[in-house]
Amino acid sequence: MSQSIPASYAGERSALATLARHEIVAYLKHPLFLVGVALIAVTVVFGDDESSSSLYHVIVPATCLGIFGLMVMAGRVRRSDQAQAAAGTVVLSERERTYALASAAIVPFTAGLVFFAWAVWDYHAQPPLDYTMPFGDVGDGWVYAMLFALGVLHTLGGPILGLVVGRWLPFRGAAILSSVGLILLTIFFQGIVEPVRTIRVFWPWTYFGGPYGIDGDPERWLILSGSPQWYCLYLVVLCALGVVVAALHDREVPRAGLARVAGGLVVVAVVLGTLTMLTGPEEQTNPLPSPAAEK
Amino acid sequence: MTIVASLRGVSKKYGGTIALRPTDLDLRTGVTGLLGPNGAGKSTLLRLLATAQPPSSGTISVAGNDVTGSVADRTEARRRLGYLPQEVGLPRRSTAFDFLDYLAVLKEWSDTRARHQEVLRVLDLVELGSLGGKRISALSGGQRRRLSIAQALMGDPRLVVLDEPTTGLDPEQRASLRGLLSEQARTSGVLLATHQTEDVAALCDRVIVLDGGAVCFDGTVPELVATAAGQVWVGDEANERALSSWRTGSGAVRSIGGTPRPDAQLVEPAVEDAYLLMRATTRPHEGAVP
Repeated sequence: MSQSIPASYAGERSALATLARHEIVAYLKHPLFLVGVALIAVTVVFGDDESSSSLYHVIVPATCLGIFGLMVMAGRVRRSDQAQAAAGTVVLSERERTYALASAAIVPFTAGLVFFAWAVWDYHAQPPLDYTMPFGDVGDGWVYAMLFALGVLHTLGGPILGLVVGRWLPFRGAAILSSVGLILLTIFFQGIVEPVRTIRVFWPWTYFGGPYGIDGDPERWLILSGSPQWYCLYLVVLCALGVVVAALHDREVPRAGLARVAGGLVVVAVVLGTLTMLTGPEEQTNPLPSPAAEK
Repeated sequence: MTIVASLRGVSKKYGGTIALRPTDLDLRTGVTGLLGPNGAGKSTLLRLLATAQPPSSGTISVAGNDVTGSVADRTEARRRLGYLPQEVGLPRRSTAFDFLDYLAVLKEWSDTRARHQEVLRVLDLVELGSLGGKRISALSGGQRRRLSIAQALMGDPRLVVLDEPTTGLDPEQRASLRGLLSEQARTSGVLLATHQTEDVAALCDRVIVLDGGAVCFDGTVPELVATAAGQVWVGDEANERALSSWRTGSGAVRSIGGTPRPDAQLVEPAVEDAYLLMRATTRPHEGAVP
């Protein structure tokens, strides 16, 4: 065989872009991602909610693309590390591999955007009934922000969390354990537990309204305090922070600059979380009773 | 022969344990064999050369790039070396082709067509050309080892560092690998750590014996063999006064060093004899080699 190929062959396109494209295609073909997309499609087609339109469906992409995405990405990190270990050393650094993997989150995010487009359309085509939400001084802007925060940004956040888990908890089962922990804590912080309703917005997934109930009407719809608009920005900063934290795992390249960026993002996240908590509507109850109360 | 890598005062410690004592070496084009017992520091030396870990002291240069210097220099060095670690866990669900293709991307092969050609080339080199589409989980141990060797040869590197490459290979595959490595060594430096002295005898221009983290021999294969000249005997009876002695398949007893039995006949030493003699004399407290 010919050995005329140069020792260091780098094409015209950058190696990082090539790797990113490779990771994007691999994510796109991942069975768990495809299952997640199929489940969302089934929900959209068959899971019509006549009372609250698409507003409560946001949990579907958050689960099927977010939680599944956590597992997909953690697996991709493991595979990338395994390939690197098989070669002992490769030219692209761990940090570059991390950035390439992070770029693959564009795949579920795009699917999330498609869901968002459907959810907005459905919200207008089949508006929610009056006893649900929105109501009072809460309008379409609040709805769009909530749909985007809870239905789209977690399709980005889940895989990025998987990146962090894959980098910092490189043991088998870490992704599943993290997913279970995430779900349990999300149940706690979704607004059911009244003492944490105010600070719940610091948790990366929470509801901004729903049938939380009041005395005499256990399914009465409430809008919870907090601004979903600021929450969107808060989540975007958390995603950026996740990528930086994952990249910080690489000890082979200087980390001081990246650590400063991480520190800055933490400060911005705290500010945005506080703004989410302190602005937006106060907790309010739909003046219309739920059908359960009328029975 | 061109120098492809140099070590100057390179040492490695793991906590309080010295894995490699301060070492100076120049590696040239050709095949260099690295012999030594388990724990001698062979894999450490290979990992240092492959930039898989930094040395505790000293400088390492690969193809003119100081790997102990800047990140840019280390990256440049990595562009010019191929490395086969001792133990390799392969992604079992990938196909052989996909695995190499992914690694080629990590080695900066950006152009898809050129990358695929290179993957096919190295698969052919290790005689896995027809198995590229097969899942790694379906490959035999020897085939997986050859797949790992293939990744080390990708890009025709200036320095090829192989840690026990013949483990798991059958005699035919070993012979084929020798041919492959000797061809590669026409333009590259090939450093292979091995316990197979016959591979060293058949393949290496130069041999380095490492023991206790220090180089205890550095020379050509004939020079190594010459260290055992006049100290290898074959007889009918076991020789308890030899440094090392064992009964061969023919029933004769081969003895190295020590005092020969009167009826024993002096024979030409082999690389293994010289290595065992060196081991027995540098570590007399360990007794005869089993």
